[in-house]
Amino acid sequence: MLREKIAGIRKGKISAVENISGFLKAIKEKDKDVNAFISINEKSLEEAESADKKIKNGKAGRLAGLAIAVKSNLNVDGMLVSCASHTLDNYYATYDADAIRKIKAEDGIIIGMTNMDEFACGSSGESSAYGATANPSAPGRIPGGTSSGSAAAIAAGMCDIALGSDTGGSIRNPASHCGVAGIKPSYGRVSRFGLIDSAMSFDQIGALANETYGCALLMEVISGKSSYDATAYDAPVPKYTEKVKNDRSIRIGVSREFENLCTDARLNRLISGKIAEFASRTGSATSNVKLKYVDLSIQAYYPIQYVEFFSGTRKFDGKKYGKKIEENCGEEVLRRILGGEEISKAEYRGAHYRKALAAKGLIVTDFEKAFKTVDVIMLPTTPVLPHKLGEKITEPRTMYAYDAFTCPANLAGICAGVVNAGRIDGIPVGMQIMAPSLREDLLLRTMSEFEAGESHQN
Amino acid sequence: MTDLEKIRRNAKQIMDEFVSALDKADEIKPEYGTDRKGEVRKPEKHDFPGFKEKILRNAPRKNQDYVIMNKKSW
Repeated sequence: MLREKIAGIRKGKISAVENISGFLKAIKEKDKDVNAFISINEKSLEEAESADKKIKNGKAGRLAGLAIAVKSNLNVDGMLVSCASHTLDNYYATYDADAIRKIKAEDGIIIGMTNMDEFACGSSGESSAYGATANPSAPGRIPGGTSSGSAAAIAAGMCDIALGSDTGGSIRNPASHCGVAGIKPSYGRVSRFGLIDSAMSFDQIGALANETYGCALLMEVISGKSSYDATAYDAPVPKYTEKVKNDRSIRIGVSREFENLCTDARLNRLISGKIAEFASRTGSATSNVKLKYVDLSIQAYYPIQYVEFFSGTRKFDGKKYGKKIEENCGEEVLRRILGGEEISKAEYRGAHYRKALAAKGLIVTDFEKAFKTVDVIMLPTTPVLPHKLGEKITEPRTMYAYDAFTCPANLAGICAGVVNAGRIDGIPVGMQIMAPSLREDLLLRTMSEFEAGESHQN
Repeated sequence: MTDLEKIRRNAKQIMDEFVSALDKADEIKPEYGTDRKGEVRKPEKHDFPGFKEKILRNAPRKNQDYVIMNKKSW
């Protein structure tokens, strides 16, 4: 358990060097089969030695000695930041992202850069230029995406905690499929400075870990304002790791609209059962919430993502760094660039983008109304179980459908997390929990409470 | 039709379908925005040691201290 490990590192029972060496050994043994990492930090042991000195002097930060894996779309000074694409396969970061700077200030050790869907375009973990990532928790199945490597690294025991990014579900989807915990913060909770954007009005950097405590710890560190980022809120950062002793009951919302969209009835049954158990155990009330426009989430999300992605990729022209993206990317990346270019032409007068923005506004209002009557909303993470690796899904709409339950939170700017809720046919299934904007404290508390009940049963 | 054209047409088709679905939603208002009054970035001094060397290391084409952007293209 991470809390115990941190205490052990502080007391000298295990050194930072021992911890990092252990993970480097695990990566050497397992990653040839998992393919979670694109590159490893060659200085990680040296950094661990520095951390050990600080620990001995009693001057170490909150993450001292912990191994942190980072998704390959986050700038880590000196590391290869490829976005899993040939476009940037020779780009070495010239600065640290704000989240990375904050991790290093707390003596966290970046152990390596993880695999992902190319430029965060996908939902399966299969579209990387460096090959697909495997799912350590469900052999033969996709790990999910786009933070595929980060989720797989946690599941395979190759790091303590991991950073991912979530634009339409890219932390929550792989967290669910790999059976780990993950959180997408509210829009603006974590600075996006140094994140290579997929869609600037949706992207958020978030955390993955074996348990909610790891997510809460990383969130405490990376949240908060940044002078580099006008969209990061200057709001106080609570102590998300503190156990709050108060009334455990909350008002839980469930949505018929999400139930109706669930393609696999077994997912509905498992999640409904778990919600009922949780409600009974904590004395919480459940009620239906009406999310009238949530079934239009995919149709609202993708036009915005296409246009913003097209805009965000204009810098990859091969002149200052990397190579020209259109000549060095996979089909899905090209589809989004060409589609975004097409619908942002003057002749359409922004019809697609503006209508999608208007629909986004309706979805925001849906959630605002819902959260007046409930504290959290609980639902499945994806409408189907993860498909088999190698089972080529060539129809983009089928792949986009994976986002149906996750992209609403990105559209609304609220926070959402996933905790493991059990298995179907041996495949992990995540319970998704949504909370109002800037209520990561409530979200993490609920995730932790749910987890406590699950581990008690097991 | 080239592959590029095929992908472009496929992307446009998907976008047109999605936006047609949005037509079904009543109450679509044309404007939406976020009020961020008071959330203004305050300028601060920043230091990036070694930045020039790192930028030049990534540049595909350079001449001493200069990144070459367009060679003989005009």
